[in-house]
Parts: sequence; structure tokens; C-alpha cells
Amino acid sequence: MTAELQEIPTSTPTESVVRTLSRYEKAEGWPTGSVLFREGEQPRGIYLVHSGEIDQLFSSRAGFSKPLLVAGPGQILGLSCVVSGKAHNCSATARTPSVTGFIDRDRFTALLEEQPALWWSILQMLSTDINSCYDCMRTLTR
Amino acid sequence: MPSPYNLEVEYNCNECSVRAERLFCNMAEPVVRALDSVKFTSLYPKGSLLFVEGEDPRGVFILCSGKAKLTTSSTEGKTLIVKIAEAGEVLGASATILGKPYEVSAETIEPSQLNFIKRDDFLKFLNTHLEACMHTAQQLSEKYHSAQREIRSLGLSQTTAEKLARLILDWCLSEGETTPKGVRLKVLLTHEEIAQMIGTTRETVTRLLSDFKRKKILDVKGSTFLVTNRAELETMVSV
Repeated sequence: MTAELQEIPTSTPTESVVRTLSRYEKAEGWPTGSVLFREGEQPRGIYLVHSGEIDQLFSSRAGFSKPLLVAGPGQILGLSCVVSGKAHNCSATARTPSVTGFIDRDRFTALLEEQPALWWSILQMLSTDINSCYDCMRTLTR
Repeated sequence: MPSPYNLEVEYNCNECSVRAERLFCNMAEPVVRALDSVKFTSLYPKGSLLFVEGEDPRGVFILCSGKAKLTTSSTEGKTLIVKIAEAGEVLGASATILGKPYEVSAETIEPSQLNFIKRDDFLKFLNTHLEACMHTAQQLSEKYHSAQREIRSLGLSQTTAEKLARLILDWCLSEGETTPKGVRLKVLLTHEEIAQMIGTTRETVTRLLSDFKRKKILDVKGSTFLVTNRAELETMVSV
């Protein structure tokens, strides 16, 4: 591990990480309402949001859904599922026309093996994701 | 000689009998030895405040045994329990990694053994041991998924009765003991704390538990809940 600990906190991936990841991504455009992934699906990879807004929708057994979290430029979707190998907890749909960079799961895993320093950024991003969940909970309890 | 709070204390992580079952601690021996060299083992009684929301991060606490509640406050000062942390969890990791104030407060709800690692030592430990990074990432992913489950419950439940039913069903799954009369639960939380888990008031929880008892869904004796009609609870939950 050679990550610089001094560079610790940012709420989104650092520019160097985005540069590294974008070399391996496949750019995809999403019109409003299109679905990136659905709740319950196994993760196929990660999505770097470059532009637009992506709703994270949670569904009830009764069939209604609510967008409770929103991801914007600089954020990554699907990271925790790829790390843990668990199915998506929510669906992701484009709230506005959006562009994402997709890296499939195997490529991403290989990338982490080739460049272990990326793990540090993964920890930062997951920590930021947890904090946004706490923010969301505080809002829902108001 | 009896140990404080009747806890079985393990000072050496490599000799810990439950290490293999723990997501974070189940690492190779040299990594665990490195962990051993930077951690401080302490025992805490119930009700000990480990860290407070808004405080600068001092480091992480590995919960070796016992339980802790993680709470946050809304802008209106309402307290919400975001999680009951179980043995094996690392507390304060996201704040420590980001170098930002703790987002939640942590307080033990039963006598607990915790291993504290100072922030600089934890960051050096992660920097030196890739395996520790991976295990921390898995821990954080688990926390994220658990937080998303809470968001789902808070955001989608249509009534407070539904939220309470869902909470009791979660407890049945995670720690319920099946008996011929129903599922028995040992609930260490007060009505006030149960209210803080589902974002309501203590009075509402007390009233709902009485309703559940009257409908013969649940029997409560002290801190023991006996869920006698689990199917009825399930019909109340839509998320």
C-alpha cells in the first residue's frame, strides 16, 4: 500500500482516482427514467456518475417505490455491493439525463489487485456513503 | 478471580476463540499480531459513552463482546438510534478514515470489551496491511447496507405500528429463540430507546405494545418479549 494518508478526506473520489478509473470505464448515456440496475440484482459493476442525477429507489412489498437517496456527479454507485458481493438494496434510475462510466465487476476487482492503493479510496468512498445515509435518516426523522 | 462485569476477557487477538467468525478480525496471523501491538483493551460497563457525534475522531473501537447503540440527532434535537452494534463490529471507522467528526454517538448498552486503536495507528495499520483494508471495506459495506435497510424502514413504512412490527420481526430473525409458545426475545432497550429506533415517542411505543398484547400478538414480561403470533406481525409489514 502506498496511498498517501495525508490526502485523506474528500466526499467524492479524488481526481487521480477518477483519472485511473476512467481509463477502464465504458461511457453510457441514460435518458430520464432509464434503469441502471434493479433492487435484488447481483452487482454487475460500478457506475461513476459524470453528469446528471440518479435516484436510488426503495420499493415496498406492496409495490410502491420512493427515491430516498440521490447520486450526483463524482459519486459512485454499486461500490458496496461489488465489495461485499451482495445484491443491490435499491434500484437506480436516471432522474435527469445522465452520463456514467461503467466498470464491470471482474475488471474492477482486477484493477484493485493491480493497484492496491485504490483500496484507500474505496474506504473513503464507502465512509462517505455511510455518512450520506445518516444524513438521510436525520432528514426522515424530522 | 472473577473478571469485571463477568466478561470473558481476551487480551490476545491471536488466541481469541471467536476471531474466525468475525468479519474484521478474521485476518492472517501476522496482521492480527500487528493489530495486537496497537490496540488497547478496555472493559466498559453498560451506559459508557465511547464517542460523541460531532467530536473529532480519536480512533476506532473494535467491539469484542457486548453491544452498543449508535445514535444521531436530527436538526430538531430528536434522537434516532441508527444501529445496535454487535460484537465483531468496528465503531467509528468512517470518521477515522475521513478525518471528519464522528457522525454518530456510541454508547454501550451492556457490559462490553472494546479494543481501541488510535487514529494514527489505525491509518498506519491500514496503510501497511492490504488485508486489513479489504476487511475494513467489507465492514463499511455491511454498515452501508444496514443503514440502507434503516432508510427503507423509515422512508417506506406507512404507520408507526408497521415500523415497530418490522423491528420486532428483525429481532426474531437475528436473536429470537424459538419455543413451543412462540419466539422469545431478550430486549435490552427501554421503551424510550425502542422509540428512538423507529423515530417515534416513548408514549406511542408503550401504547402500541399494549395493543399488540391485547391482540395476543405479543406477551411482555420485564425485558422478555414472547412473540406469540408472528404471522400477524408479518401481515402488518409492507416494506
